[in-house]
Amino acid sequence: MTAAPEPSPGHRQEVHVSSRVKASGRSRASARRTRPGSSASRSKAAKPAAAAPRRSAAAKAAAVRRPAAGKAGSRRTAAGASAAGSGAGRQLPALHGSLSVVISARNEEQTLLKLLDQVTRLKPLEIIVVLNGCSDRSFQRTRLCPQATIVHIPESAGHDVGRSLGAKLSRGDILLFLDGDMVIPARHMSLFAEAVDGGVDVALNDLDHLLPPFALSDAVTRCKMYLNAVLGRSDLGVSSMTAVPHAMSRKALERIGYRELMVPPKAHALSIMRQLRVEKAGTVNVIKHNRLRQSNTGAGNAMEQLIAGDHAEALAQVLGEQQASGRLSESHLQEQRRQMAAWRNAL
Amino acid sequence: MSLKHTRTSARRTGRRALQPKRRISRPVRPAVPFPAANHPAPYVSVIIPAMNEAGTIGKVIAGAREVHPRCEVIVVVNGSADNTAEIALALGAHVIHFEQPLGHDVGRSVGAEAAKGEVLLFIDGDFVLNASQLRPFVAAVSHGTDVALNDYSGPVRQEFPHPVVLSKHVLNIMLGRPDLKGCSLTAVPHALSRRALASLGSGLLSRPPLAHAQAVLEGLQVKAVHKVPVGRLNAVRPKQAGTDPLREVILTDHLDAAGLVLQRRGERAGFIDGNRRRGMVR
Repeated sequence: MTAAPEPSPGHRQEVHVSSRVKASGRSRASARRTRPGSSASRSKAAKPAAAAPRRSAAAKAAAVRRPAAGKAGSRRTAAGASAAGSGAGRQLPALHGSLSVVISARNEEQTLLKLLDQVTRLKPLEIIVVLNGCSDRSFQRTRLCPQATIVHIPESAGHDVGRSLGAKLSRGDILLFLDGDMVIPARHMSLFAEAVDGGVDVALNDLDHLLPPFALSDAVTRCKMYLNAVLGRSDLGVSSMTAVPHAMSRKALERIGYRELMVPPKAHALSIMRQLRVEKAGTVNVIKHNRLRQSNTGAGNAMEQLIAGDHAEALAQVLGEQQASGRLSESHLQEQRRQMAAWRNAL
Repeated sequence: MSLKHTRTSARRTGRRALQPKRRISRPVRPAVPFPAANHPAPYVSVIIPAMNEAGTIGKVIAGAREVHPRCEVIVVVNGSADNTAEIALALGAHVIHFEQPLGHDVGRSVGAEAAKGEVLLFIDGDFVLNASQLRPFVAAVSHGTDVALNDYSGPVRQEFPHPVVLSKHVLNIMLGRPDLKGCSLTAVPHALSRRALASLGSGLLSRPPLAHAQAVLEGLQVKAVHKVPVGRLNAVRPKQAGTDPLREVILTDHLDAAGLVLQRRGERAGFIDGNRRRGMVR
């Protein structure tokens, strides 16, 4: 998607930027091509963050631009705020509880600052950025956001461990979990925080209507769907704590245990089994905007394997629970089969 | 008008048309009917659990007979109030009769117990399949496959499939066999080798998802060999107060099968954990 250049309010711009983020080389190039046509302020804001590090010729210019990034960022915030006021016609609703935003990032220098910009608009109590094995300038980028608390793990701690660490450090009543690889408009993030503020314990991203026919879906989608079915929550579709953004209450965090967050499907299963209010809260198309990496494309990729393993852990949890409650006992099974046969025979 | 020079097609004109039409001699299978009785030393055992299937059993047996010249047909009649057993007997099948219903899929275990063949072919008494639909399963097992599955994954056009279809797919993912899609021992027709039966045990066949998981875990050669879209052939049975008891049974079996995988391959079912350093969070 390459948005046609138009005199757009601030939030439009974010759509444009994020579409470039997901891009493989082809659409990235086309996005760049459209930029000169866009408004001057937009191209200025986007350039230092995105274009400079990629171009080798810009190595010299980068040093000059870096301080400008902060300036451009602040100007953009101002533009964004005015857009929220006039263009979108609504202010982000104030939350009753305090908000902690946990962002996990791995080499996301391209997007972090723009994301932080949007996050700031939520007026959170704190922003915890977990930089997990970053070898680029993510750290320097994040430093430009004065509110961000940075957890820097030089050597990668592994997938989703950062989420768990961030949760442990958080203090707010509401926890919003994000990934550093995609810029989401503040008003979209706000939906999840608002849901938790309104009494939901775990507010999930609803991806149901973005699904392909089942025959074409990937293993991760199938696992998520199955886990919800096993938990008796088919109504959740494929919504899962595996997907960002999602938010949870402090109560949920305490009941699940922050350690479990490093295996999101397990945390998901626990939250349902421990009678928390788990609901869908809004849709952010993370499928489209997900950054394509070598490890997350193609059937049977490493990421798919990892998440399948996570779901295995979640199923182990569910099975353990059911065995304890006696649903899978031998006598129960025999009774079930006998009833079934009798029912069939009645035909 | 002479019959000899009748024009049979537009192309048969000119000199060749005057020559007598060439007869193509095609080797024709000898019209020896397959014996209407079980072979004393069968190669294929066809196992047919049946419950009140008088309407179809005759044709089902007839189809089964033609699968192989050395064939035995075993019909496990259970809980039938009609004359299923009599029809099967009259057609020379080995009939194992139970007054009471055995329970879902238990007939498969009973039939397998009695089977003498090298290849065990499992079909159902409620839909008629002709031999050409069944031979690929037997052929696959004769060529070294241990578990020859029906290459049918159920209806998968919608975003959200039937829970049973979903369960089958996810069980295969957990088994590390996503290539099998939704194919499973749950669906007939399928065939087992003698080796597979020895490894699984006939008792486990009553719970097909567990047998399926066990077969993969044991390293048997499991393969989807031929598609028979049985979904359309299955009888639609009335639901009982909104719930489908069959569905519950199958879902439970699948969950148990997943449990079996976890038991054998560890909590993560043998999948990688990336480079998670779990000790970092305490």
